[in-house]
Amino acid sequence: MGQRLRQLLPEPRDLNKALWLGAVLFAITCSYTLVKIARDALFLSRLPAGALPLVYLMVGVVTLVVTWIYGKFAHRQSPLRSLIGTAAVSALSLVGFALAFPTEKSWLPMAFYVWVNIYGLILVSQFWAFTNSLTEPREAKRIMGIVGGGGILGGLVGGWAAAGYARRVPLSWFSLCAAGLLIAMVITLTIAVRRGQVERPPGDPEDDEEAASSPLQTPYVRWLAFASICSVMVTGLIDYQFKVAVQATYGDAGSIASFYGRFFIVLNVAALLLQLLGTRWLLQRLGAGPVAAALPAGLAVGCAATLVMPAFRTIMPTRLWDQLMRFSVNKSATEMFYFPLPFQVRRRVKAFIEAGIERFGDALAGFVILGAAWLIDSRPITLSVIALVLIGLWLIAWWNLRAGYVRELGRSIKRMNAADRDAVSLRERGVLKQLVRALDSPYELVVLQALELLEENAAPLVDPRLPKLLAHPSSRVRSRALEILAGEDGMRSAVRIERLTRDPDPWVRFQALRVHAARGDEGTLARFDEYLAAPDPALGRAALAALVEYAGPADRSRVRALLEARIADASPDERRAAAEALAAPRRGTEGFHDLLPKLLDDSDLSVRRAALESAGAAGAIDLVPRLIEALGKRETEPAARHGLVALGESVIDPLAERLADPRVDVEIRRALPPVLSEIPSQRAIDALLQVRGREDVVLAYRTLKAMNHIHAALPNLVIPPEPVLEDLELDIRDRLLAELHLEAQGEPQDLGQSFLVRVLRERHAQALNRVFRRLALLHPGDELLSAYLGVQHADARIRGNAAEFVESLLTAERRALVAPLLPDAPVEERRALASSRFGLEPMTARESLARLLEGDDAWLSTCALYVVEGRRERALLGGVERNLEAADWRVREAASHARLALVGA
Amino acid sequence: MSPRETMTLIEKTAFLSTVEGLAGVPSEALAQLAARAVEIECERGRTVFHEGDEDRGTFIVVEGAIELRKETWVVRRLAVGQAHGELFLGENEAHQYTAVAVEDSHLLNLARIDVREALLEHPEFGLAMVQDLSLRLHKLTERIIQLEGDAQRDGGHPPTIGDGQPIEPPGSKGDAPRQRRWWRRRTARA
Repeated sequence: MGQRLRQLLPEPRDLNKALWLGAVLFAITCSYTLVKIARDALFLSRLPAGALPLVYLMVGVVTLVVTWIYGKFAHRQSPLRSLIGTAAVSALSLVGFALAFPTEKSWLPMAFYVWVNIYGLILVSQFWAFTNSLTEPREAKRIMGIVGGGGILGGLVGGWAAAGYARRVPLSWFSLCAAGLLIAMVITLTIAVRRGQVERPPGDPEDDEEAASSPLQTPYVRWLAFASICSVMVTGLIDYQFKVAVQATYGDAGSIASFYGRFFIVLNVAALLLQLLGTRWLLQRLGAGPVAAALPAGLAVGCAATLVMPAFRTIMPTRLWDQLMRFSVNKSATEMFYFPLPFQVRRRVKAFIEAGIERFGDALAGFVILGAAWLIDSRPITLSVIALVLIGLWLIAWWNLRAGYVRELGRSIKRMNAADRDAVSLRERGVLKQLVRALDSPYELVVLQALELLEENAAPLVDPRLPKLLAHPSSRVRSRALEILAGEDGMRSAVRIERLTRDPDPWVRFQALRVHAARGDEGTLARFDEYLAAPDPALGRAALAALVEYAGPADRSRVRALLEARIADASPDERRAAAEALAAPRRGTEGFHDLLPKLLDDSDLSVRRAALESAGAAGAIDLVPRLIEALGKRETEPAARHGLVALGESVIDPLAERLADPRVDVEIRRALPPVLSEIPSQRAIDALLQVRGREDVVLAYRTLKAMNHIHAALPNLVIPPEPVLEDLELDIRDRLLAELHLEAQGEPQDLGQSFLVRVLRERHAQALNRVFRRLALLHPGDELLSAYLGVQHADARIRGNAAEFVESLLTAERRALVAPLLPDAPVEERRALASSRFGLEPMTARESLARLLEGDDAWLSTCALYVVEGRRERALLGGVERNLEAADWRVREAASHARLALVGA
Repeated sequence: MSPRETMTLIEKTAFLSTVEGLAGVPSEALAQLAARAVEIECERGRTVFHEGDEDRGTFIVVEGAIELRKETWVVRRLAVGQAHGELFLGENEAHQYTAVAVEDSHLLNLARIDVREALLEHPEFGLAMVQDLSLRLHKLTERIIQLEGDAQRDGGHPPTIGDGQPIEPPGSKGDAPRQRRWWRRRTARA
């Protein structure tokens, strides 16, 4: 029972803050309830209920004006100052009304009604703006129950006081008491802030450029405003029906005040219980979206019942549900919808919606009631039909908000995460324009850089500038322009290049010859010979590559002889030149692939690397086994990878075959996922999904990383969720187990244990990384990356937003698994999950070591053996001896040393 | 000096994890590095490598102490957990210093390619090296400034940098040189 209660209440660290804020809201709502009862009693005892629609209309119009003026003053004030200032002014005004009550002026009930609505709404809105500025979504979920409970308790006490004293004291006393409560609230808040129990709102970490724009610019805020207006209109319609029914049932002011007192007691007791016992649980279990739907869904049922039976016994429960939900869970859930907005925008939007849009909704409700009465009638049936239509619209708005909430949270954590700024695309029109303009620069490096970027991103834009570039003063620019021209068979532009074959720079002359060769001009090939022995070795290599590229059938034997001579040369430079030349794309039908195997066996590493890359570039599919073999050696792995990637999708099947085969050398298997990740395709994903084993941590992680890479490149690929979810569960288990081991090991006592703790911390962090990577295979990857960075951020607000995003994104089943792993989640939740889902229980340090010795993580077993050796843990000798035959040599080595230490001890 | 394998892989890795600058490198990456590290035992007074020898990579002191010397000057003393590697050397270039064991020492030796790969794979490793190099550069700068001050006090010309500009001592603006001359006169009289 005690544990159950602890789960419902916030953590001790949050409780203090929640209680102080709850006390402040208690004073505000207690005061507001007293004044509302005095307002309704005064109005209904002196004026007919039929005047209410007119008052609603007045409230709307006057509130709009007042809040606009108020907004101008309050915008530059801190939330704390705004709240204190509003409370002080409200208290003074209530004292003024209390003094005016005995005068029985005819305008007084109406003026009091309007003013109560205005100040009450502004004050409550200011309180929530202040609370929002102090907290983040996850903390809000934890403390909202207590804070909102304070408010409801205030309503309860206010209702009880009104019911008890309504017949004994004049209504002006209510107003005076309310003023006193507001003064008490100001004092309480000031003390809380001074003592540091409630911190001052921190500075905004976000970019507030958006704050300057209109709040309605984003669709999310528009749906938020639309849902609010529907909600307010529905409550206005139901309130009108209720008041008409109350007036018909109770006659004098004392009876009405007494009824309202009892009504508010029942309402507030129910709301308090719901708020304290249900809000946190509902928000954490279901999330803000589904909880926010409970109010309109219940009202739809109530209105439907009123249609069938238009009587006090159907209207009253509908109103009760409206008020019960509106001031408990619905209030907390709706507050959550504001969190994704940037701080300043949030403040403006809240003020705009609560003080502007909602008051406009009040006025609209009054207008609708008047219109209905004028056009049809204002019977409960008619008003219920209108309310049902509005509830339908409200639910549509809610549906859009629910989806928008997750999207906006994603945007919010991206915005807050400075490390994850959106990159500027080079394909943007403005950027491309700048690059084209850079081609006119007299500076060689500027032109060359612009040329590279344009060739990569928008090659056609280069063509019209080629003639000008061929006349550039820089020989490097002329040479590069010719190279581009030759790249497309020299036909990309009908530029005349004869004069460039006589250019003073040999590179320019050579590239001009290449263009001729590309265009198929006869006699060009022989002219490359003069460059083969050029003083610049790079030019000689380029000439050999050009010969390989453009050799026709007649030149084939001559080029082959040239290549063979270089391959047979003693100098590695010559052999490397031959290997590099074989990468040149062949224009003829036959290649020189048969020369590559010899180069792949060359004694010089640089030659072997060049041959591996050339095998891929030349499309030598028959050499794939050799390339895969070379992946297993550190020194040739990058070249082999480039070669395989150049061969494209044709190598996926042999790669998949080896990846799935445990008999293949582990170093080769580990090198395969990075290759597949660079050939993004459905087949590559399918090949990677075959690897499910977790015994090799490196292979498993590289496989996952490769899938993330492909998913980021091609987000529309189909990834079956079943294997991903199975692995996700195992990663969650790993995370929980690492945490239990860390708890068991406690504070390290020696070097061995320090190292073991360090490795356990790594495993703990790696498991969370894998959890997010797996989720990123099923959900938007970039947003989950931001969330992953966010949950580890030092700023609690960023952590909270990131955790809220993850929770909102996941289904209830996945959320139950992942939420306990998120930062700031109670350790009890993780313990409960570890125990119930995976059968993992807390351990002693020795039990932890024993378990690590038996585990399938070879590196952790090695570290545990090191600790056992250092501590002479003779009780674990059996576990040590079992590891003497382990497959991993690191484990065997550590086990044999540990055994020696134990047997000798 | 002799290569001798007395440490297990886990011992080498645990030791590397205590070396300043390697704290941020994942333990399994350290283990890979440790697996490639060769142990060297060196008696006091023996030379680990000579200036002009072929570059043998990086040395980390597990036990004992090593002095780096340039001709007859002691450039640096390496204590337990400190490392020396001449990463500025090109392929096939020779050691620029002589390393001598000033105590019976136990070292780990990593080949150049292993250190380079660790640098490429783990930015933390590079960051730690940059911090260490910056600190040493800062100490060297302070040392040069101190020498320049000593040279001026001894009546010599201030040392200059490449373009002939004298190296400015800290705070030597305005009337600072005059104060120094005044101080020197008093010292000379004394």
